[in-house]
Amino acid sequence: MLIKDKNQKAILFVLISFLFFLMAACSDSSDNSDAAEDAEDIEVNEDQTTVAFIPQVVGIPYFTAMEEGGEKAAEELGAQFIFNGPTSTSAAEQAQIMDSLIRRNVDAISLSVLDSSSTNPMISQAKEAGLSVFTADSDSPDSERDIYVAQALDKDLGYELIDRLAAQIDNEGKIGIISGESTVTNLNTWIEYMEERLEAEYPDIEIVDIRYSQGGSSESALTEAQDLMTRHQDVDGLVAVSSTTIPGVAQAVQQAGKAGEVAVIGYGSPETVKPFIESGVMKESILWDAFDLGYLVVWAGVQLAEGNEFEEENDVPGLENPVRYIEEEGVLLLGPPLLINEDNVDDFDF
Amino acid sequence: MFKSYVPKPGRREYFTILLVGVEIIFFSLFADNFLTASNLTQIIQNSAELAIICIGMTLVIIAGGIDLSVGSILGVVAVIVGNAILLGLNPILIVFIAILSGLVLGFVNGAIVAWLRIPAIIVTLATMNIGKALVFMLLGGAWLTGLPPVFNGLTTYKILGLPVVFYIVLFMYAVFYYIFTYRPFGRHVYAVGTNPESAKLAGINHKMIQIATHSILGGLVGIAAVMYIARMGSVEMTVGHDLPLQVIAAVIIGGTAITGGRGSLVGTLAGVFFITIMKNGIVIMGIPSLWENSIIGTLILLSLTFDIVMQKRVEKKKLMTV
Repeated sequence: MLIKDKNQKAILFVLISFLFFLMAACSDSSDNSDAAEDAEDIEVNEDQTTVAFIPQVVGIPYFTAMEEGGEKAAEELGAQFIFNGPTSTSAAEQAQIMDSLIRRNVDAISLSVLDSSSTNPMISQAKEAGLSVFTADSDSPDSERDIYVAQALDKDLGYELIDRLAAQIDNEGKIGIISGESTVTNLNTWIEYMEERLEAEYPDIEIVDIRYSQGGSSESALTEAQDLMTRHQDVDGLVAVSSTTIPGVAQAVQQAGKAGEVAVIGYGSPETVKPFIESGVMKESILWDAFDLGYLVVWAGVQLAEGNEFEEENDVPGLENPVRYIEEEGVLLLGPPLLINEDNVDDFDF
Repeated sequence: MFKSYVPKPGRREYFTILLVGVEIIFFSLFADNFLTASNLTQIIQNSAELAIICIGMTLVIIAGGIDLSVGSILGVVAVIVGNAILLGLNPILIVFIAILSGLVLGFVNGAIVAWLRIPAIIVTLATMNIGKALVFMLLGGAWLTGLPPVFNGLTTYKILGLPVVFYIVLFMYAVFYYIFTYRPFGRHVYAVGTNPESAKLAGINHKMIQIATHSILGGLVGIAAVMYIARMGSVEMTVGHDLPLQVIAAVIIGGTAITGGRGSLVGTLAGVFFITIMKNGIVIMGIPSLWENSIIGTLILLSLTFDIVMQKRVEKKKLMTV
């Protein structure tokens, strides 16, 4: 196909740039359907209980740690674990993968919800097909999911972050929030609880701005943080909500020479925040043990597939603390948030 | 030595410069803290990579091609540079490696376009996706973080109050402006972009021009990758995903004709500043960043329409003189 006519070329260009805008606008970069194709190739072993987990994105250390935890649990419980997700955060691709998993007839499907409106119909479809479906890591309460495997209660996470940040800035001042995509359920829920906590406990702390980084990218977070600090030069603290925005936000503060002056906190994995804790830009980060969360996902999947009921307190072999089940909300809770600081940052590998 | 082979920047370029001027006045009036030394420094720092890459993209587009894979090339080179830093290689050697690997990737694009005669838009769409997969594989599930600050001088060091990257950008534009305006190579690029057939009849090796422009673009992306690392201090999985849109937008808004044969580096530099100032000003005014994409998109369409209308008028004039 040789294009010689200049007008044809111009038309082609306009079409392609439209394509780019669509991709950028919905951030559903549909340029990568490999993951969905991979799912087609998975062999489902009929003798074993098969539990699948669809992360928001593959390739970041956090979900890789969940994958490792899940694999360990699968090995110990004699189950099969399928870990498959989009290569850049995309709810549309998650739905595609779910679709192929339903056709593969696995026993239990779990997912970390990105955009509930895209995946809720798939959850219903999986229920119709008679599978156990549950959410993990990020919830969609209005879907037909069986349970939600929670890393920590969203409320605890939001409150804890604000408490730690308030302690760092002596309970008063201005803070800015830099989040990932504006449509991601769990990030928005945390921000709501942060606001709630501030209103109730810290009247002297004010949120000056909430920014969203494009595609959750760290580079975009860097410029958003820089520009936020330009607009509000007296900002005392920055919250990097999504793990992927932490390097950008911390780097922005470091480059501005404001380490120690502007507090940076967020939900970042130990590996992500380590260089910044070492350089003094960040004092603390809040998260949970992703390895344990992955472990719990597979354990819960096996229980659901085998039709076992959850107790109020469950002893999970392989996990230190008993796991609480909150029946009215259908939440299986890993435990309280994990505070990461210079003392324990070296103890994890995600 | 200084005989001008191609037309100097004309009315179209001045229009973009005017646009940047209006933009600066607008944000100075309506965005607090926009017109401060630290913010302007930041704009320069954040536009450096885009500015460098846009030199190459201007060449490629004027020669009648396009390159959608710049983001992926940046990603691959950034991963290579990151690993080289972790290995503790000599910084000068690292810069050399960066340019060379960019050059090779650009050469591959150019060679496929020229020798297999496949349209550049298709070739680079393919290599863009291959590059994304390559970055993913090279990173192997983890980000490159905690890189030693070997190149931090690029962002922190200042000469006469201006960041050192500013001088690098200025130097690169001066060099390429000279080559482009006063050397035969520049004229050949324009000739190939205007009409490949007559360029061929005039004895210009249009395949070499295609390969050369793509390779130069690749090499420049290599330099930009070093700047990216200096600025970010880490390499993320989605590195460079937004880049092709921004680069092409800057070049088009700067007055380069997407059909090839027309455009200039002066206009491109104005286009680069237009886009980075827009991104910066939007945040400082507190407008949601989503608007940025639609504003840039609208401007691309306006630029294209403007070009087509102008071209029609020129053709009409020609007919009348005949």
